[in-house]
Amino acid sequence: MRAPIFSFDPGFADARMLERLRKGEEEALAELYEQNRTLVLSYVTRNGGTTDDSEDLLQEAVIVLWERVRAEKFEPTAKLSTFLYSIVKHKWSRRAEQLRRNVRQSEETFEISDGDAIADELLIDAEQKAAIVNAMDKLDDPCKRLLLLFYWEERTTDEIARMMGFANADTVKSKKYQCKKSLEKLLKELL
Amino acid sequence: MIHHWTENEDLLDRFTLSRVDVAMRAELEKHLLDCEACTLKVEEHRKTVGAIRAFGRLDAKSRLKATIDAHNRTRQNVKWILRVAAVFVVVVGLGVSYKFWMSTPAKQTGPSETSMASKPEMQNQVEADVRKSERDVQSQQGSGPGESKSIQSAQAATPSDQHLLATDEKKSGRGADQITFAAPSAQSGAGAGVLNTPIPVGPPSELLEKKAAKNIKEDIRLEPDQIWVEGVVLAGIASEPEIARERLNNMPSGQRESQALQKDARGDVHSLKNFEVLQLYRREVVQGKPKYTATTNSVRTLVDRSDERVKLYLDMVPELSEAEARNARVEQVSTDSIVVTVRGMRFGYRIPSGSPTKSAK
Repeated sequence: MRAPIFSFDPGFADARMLERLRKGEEEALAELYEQNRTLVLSYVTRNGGTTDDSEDLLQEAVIVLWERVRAEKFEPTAKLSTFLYSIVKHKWSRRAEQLRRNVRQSEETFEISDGDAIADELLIDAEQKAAIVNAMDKLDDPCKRLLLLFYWEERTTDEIARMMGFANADTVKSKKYQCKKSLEKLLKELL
Repeated sequence: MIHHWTENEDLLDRFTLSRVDVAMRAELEKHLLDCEACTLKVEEHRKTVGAIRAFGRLDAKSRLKATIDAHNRTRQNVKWILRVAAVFVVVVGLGVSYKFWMSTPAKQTGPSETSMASKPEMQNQVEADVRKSERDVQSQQGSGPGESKSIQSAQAATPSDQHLLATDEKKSGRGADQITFAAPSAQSGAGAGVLNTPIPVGPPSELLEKKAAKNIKEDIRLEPDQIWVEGVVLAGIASEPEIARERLNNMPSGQRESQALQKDARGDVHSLKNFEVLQLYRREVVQGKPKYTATTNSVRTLVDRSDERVKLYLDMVPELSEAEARNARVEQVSTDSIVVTVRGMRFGYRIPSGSPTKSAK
């Protein structure tokens, strides 16, 4: 068999990328980032931001997209680049607005989907962010992993049982409940 | 109505993660309106889930950042390696050029002991050149400028000069007026007699084209994920876009808009849209003039879809180098159509849709 002359992504680019995101391939995130870096950099710097701002925003946008794809809440009505661009624009306008209001606290947005629309956006300031990281780091590794698999990656209990070697889904549910209670306790202490 | 549904952990999770349908959500929310404790429980749960997801997002972001940084570092390293390699090539190139220049009688400014010792013939030649230059000056003073070099050759004063010139003429296979070793002069120009490399002109050799044709017809056994795909030439004038434009303008509109067909290995025929079909013109130089000949509007290539990425074997481009392949531009023009631009030529392909790993079985 001859050697391939070159390879390319022939036009299923977005579909293939979505499939990879669904599978949880983190390398795909970096590719998505690289593909959109120039576009976002151009937008952010044109609107008074820096290279660091653009990198930060695009990373956040890529994570938002990943989150939605995994949760099956992403409808590919537009190209992925368009979606990312709109997220960046939205986030940048919010940041710019905060700067105008002289809000100095570093801000992280957190979104919980409500039906088809983003309903709740929990604003987490730097202090809260540190407390959350602290609380999560205080959990033992299996607990932390289980909670992330269930609530962040939105895996099913059956999947988690297979991934973490639990006997069955019921064991996962029981362990999840205990872990969540531990976290609630830690968060109450720290927040 | 579910009585204090918030006691149900599964339902609480599904509600918080928006995994309930609209009707169910309405019902659950209705209960929350009448149950303050339930509302508080939901809020608390939502905050905990929010914290976990915020942590997940921060964690994912830091991992993404690490991957991007690693990529950037690799890219920087590659850039540095390329820069160092480029400097090395330039230095070596300069060294070789200098050595070459120094060993060239026409350019030599001073004798090199090493080269002289190893090449006595060259030393004699240089001496002859110096004497010849002196005679040139004398003859120009005597008979005036414009005297031909063949005359200068005939006037070689010493037997060794005559021998050298005769040897050179034999070597070059040219007449005495085609100087191969001569002292610098306005007529010979810089480097005359040094480089005798023919400059390739005209169309690609027939051999290459035959080879390419052979590749296309080669009967290879297709792997399960491989198919032959017929493409169309959209514009095939290497480095002659203006000719392409002119030919296009002169082409009947029906021909310009003609629809190409493509076949896959199983013989299915699909209409190929989104392409403007042009002819491929081969450039030949006939009696010193370029001639353009229409050749084909169809190219066949092998598509391999056995892994994540589709691989295209560009057989229609003779001896495509790896660098050219890397610089090839691929544009997506519709969901299943691409245009490949390589070596100044544009080719359109419609890749049959379907999962790459499940196709053509």
